[in-house]
Amino acid sequence: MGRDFKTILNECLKELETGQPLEAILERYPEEADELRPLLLTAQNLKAMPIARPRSHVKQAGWQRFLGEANALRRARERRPVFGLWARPLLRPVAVAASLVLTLFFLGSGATVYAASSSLPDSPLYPIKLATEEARLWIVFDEDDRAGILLDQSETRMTEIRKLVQDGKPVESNVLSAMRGRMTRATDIINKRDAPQELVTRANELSAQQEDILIAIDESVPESHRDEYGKVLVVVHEVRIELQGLSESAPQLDPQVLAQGISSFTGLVEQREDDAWTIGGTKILVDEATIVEGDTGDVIGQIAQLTIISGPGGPQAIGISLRGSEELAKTATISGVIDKVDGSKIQLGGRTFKLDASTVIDAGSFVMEAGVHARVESECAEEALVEGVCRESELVAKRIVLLASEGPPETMTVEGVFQGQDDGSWIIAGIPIEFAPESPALITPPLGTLVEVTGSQEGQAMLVTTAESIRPPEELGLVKLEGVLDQPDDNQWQIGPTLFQTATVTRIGGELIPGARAVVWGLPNEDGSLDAIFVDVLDTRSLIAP
Amino acid sequence: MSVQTLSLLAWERSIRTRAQERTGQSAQVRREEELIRRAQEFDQEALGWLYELFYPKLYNYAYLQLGDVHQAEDLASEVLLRVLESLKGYRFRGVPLAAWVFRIARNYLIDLSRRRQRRQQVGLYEGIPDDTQDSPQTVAERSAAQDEIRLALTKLTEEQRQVIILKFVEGMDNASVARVLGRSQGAVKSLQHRALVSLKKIISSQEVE
Repeated sequence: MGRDFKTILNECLKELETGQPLEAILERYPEEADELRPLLLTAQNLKAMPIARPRSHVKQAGWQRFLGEANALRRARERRPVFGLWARPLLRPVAVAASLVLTLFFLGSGATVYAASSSLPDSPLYPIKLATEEARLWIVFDEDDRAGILLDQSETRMTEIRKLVQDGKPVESNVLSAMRGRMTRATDIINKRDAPQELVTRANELSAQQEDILIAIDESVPESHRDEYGKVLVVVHEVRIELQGLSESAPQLDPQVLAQGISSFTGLVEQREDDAWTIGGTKILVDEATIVEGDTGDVIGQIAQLTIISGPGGPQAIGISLRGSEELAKTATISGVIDKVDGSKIQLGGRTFKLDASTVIDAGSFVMEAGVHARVESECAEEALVEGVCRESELVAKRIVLLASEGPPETMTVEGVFQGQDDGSWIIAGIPIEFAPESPALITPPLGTLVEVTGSQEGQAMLVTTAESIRPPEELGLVKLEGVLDQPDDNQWQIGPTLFQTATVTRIGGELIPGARAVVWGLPNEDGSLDAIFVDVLDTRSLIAP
Repeated sequence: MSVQTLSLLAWERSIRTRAQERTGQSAQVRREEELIRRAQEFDQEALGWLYELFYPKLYNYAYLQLGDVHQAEDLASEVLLRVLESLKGYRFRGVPLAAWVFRIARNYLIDLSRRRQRRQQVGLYEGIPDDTQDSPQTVAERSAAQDEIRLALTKLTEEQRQVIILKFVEGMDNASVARVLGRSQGAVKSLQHRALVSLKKIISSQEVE
């Protein structure tokens, strides 16, 4: 025969590879057939062995890293241009073409472009504004610069949304999708490379502000744009998770669930498990997509404000903000009629509040202007407190809710933690409240009590009509709900996924109307619903279009 | 028609098939050459082709030897980054790109093995988290079959294991396997023989147990 066995085996394996039947192959090597058969069968079995499949999300993450590395290598290979395209002879024609396009664009329709630059999303010129911004990116080749410009543009979209909301206009789909697109592109660049820390921090802060604002405008988004609303909310939420490195395996949020509505739930943390937290007797699901802010070390006993959605398994938190009682003491809520809106300031109840980039405006289709009822949640910076009293110019509006209230224009309400007295005035969350001489005598509450004082404004003083003491939630296990009212049946009301019922002892401010916004304080039942103790209905009509 | 005639007909058909395959292969080789050239210029489509082609192969290659999902994912990812860094220096000389890629993968595995020995790490041998749409039964059967083979492979020598995986799982020819191992094709034939004999014995003994 002259050929060794390993050569014959190799030939047989080749033949097997071409699809020849095993028996036909063995017939050609009758002397070696017995020895060959088990080896060829083993080879056949190996080929038929199922392959291990990689997890698609890990593969996808690997691809992003691979692509980022390729971009970094490409940049390292290219000599970095000193003056962009002009310094690279091969690309000069491209630069000439880009400049010509831009020149023609600006010369040919300069007036239109100028007019478009200040347009809002409801304007026919708005697409030109977006196109002009896009053209700006054509001549930017530094990836950090591109990411920075895209973040600027995404922030501009956020400002436009705020302007629409302030003007009482519906939030358009085009501005939502443009905000989403620019944020996605910016973070794609940041994630693919070792981006400067300040860029990462900025993207992080911007996405947090955008998420707050998007949650606040929940009911201002028309039904036809809710799909896009859900998508952009998912993007900014996931950008935060990614950039903060909170989780590598956070489940993706479902935009459709987010689009269905969001509510706020505040209470004392009683129990913490891996997949759920018990807040004021109610089990709220948490997972790796839940962003937790605050001191996460020992959460039991802290006050948690949760942003919740109706997940498939029950109420699910997408955000948890943990606050100690000292932080809670810094927040005051003042309701009343807006005296003046002046650029970055708003005057209400004789006080001036600063608006900054983090101020959330929940307008609910009303215009933020003088004469409109509003509820301002304000905070005083630590450094602005002088002997426990906030310097007036340092009150910052964290959230402004415009109300469809038609009560007497002079009525105002202050809610906050009582911190003491100063020459007859009460200090509530750092704000001195001076009482008019005609006010009834009030019983001084214990320090740290949450109080609500209602009255009318008499110059800088307040003529008190009612003063309520709402004991701190950590003492009573009270839960606070905020959101849009719904009435699933005659006996129960609902905000987000949480049901509550009223009784004759429940103090109800305003009229319970489905579709109106409300704040509810209540005690939890075993079935997860609440017995409402105090309901403040913020609107006098439904905000939901029929 | 006799059995002998049938065999001859099958033989002729296989020759025709091989001729057609060679024509197809040369077109494929040209396409591969073109894609490598484009990938060297960081063309995204070509890079995508490279990644899509090799990530699953490298993952499977690593998983069979490490038995650990996360380490297999790391290997696939890290090896492709090494490939990317070295791609500029790659010259197409008739041997498929796969041989070059798997040579890098094997070197990575050897380094990893040394590191593990130093740290006395052991494989976790977790089940494969399966995010496909397959039924639980299919997933379980696939996992059991893989586990049996993987266990048998751990009992082979390193070179024998490489030959088995590269040739019968990854589908390489002897020239490519030789390139990965840095051995002659004759040596690969011998290794192939010894590896199949050993594997057959190991699997038989596992079945008895």
